Amino acid sequence: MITSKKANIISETVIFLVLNALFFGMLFLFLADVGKGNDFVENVYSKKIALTIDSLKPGTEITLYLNELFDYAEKNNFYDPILTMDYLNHKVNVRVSRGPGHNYGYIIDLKDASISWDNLKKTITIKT
Amino acid sequence: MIKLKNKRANEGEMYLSIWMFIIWIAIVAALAWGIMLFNSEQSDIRYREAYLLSNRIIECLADNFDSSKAENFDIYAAGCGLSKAVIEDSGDFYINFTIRDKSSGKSVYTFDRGTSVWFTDCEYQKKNKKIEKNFAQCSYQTLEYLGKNEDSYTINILTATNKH
Repeated sequence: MITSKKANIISETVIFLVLNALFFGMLFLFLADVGKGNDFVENVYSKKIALTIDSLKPGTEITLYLNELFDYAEKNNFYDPILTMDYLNHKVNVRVSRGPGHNYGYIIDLKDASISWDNLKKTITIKT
Repeated sequence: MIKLKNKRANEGEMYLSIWMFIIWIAIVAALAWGIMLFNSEQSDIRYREAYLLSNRIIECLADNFDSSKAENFDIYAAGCGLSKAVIEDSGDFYINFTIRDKSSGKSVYTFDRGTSVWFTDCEYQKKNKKIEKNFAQCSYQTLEYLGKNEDSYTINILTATNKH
């Protein structure tokens, strides 16, 4: 009788500890994802690129080293263009996964601009 | 009697475990909310954008504005590169600037376009020296420059944006 009570207490404790470990493991993974997930990266980089474009004078060429952005895309097995420009609506779209990505507007007219990227060097070049 | 006690104790444990899960969920929700709030704060670039816009306009005016042809001056056609559609039609920006002759104080050129209702938001924040997160973010700059005809001018510029 005493043995079965002890065994019961031990199994309850084990279950409790396993549940705790599972919960905190899932919590850690969830927070890591929310903290630096694709949405956040796309949001931040679309804004950074739009601000960079806004600061460019006509006739400028600038190369941006975007290791982190390319690494995210690689991690997601995403090999489509990570940066697309909507010249008509003055918007930059950044995608590191299959989703719609994040759009952010810039304020200058970029009719003759061109964007090129180098997956090996992990760079994007913008010419205005 | 003993059986009854044990039954209540078991019920208590059951409720305790339910509450435990509720508390866990609350902790997760609070942490996620905190992180999202932190992230949105980190990615709030409205002030930088307003400041960048005012700098771009100032540079453009310094390069292109001629007080003798002020009546015909068009900031969109002057080579500033600004998009009229974005500034005036998107509802995301407000620009207000006045160029004054430094010696006489007389206004030479005035420009007021975009979402003008933000003027009061900007003035409120400036007056109270406080940034209101829910208001448009504003950049005020005042500077003097030497015009093409060696005349000194003062530019007071306010730019604002509430773009997300």
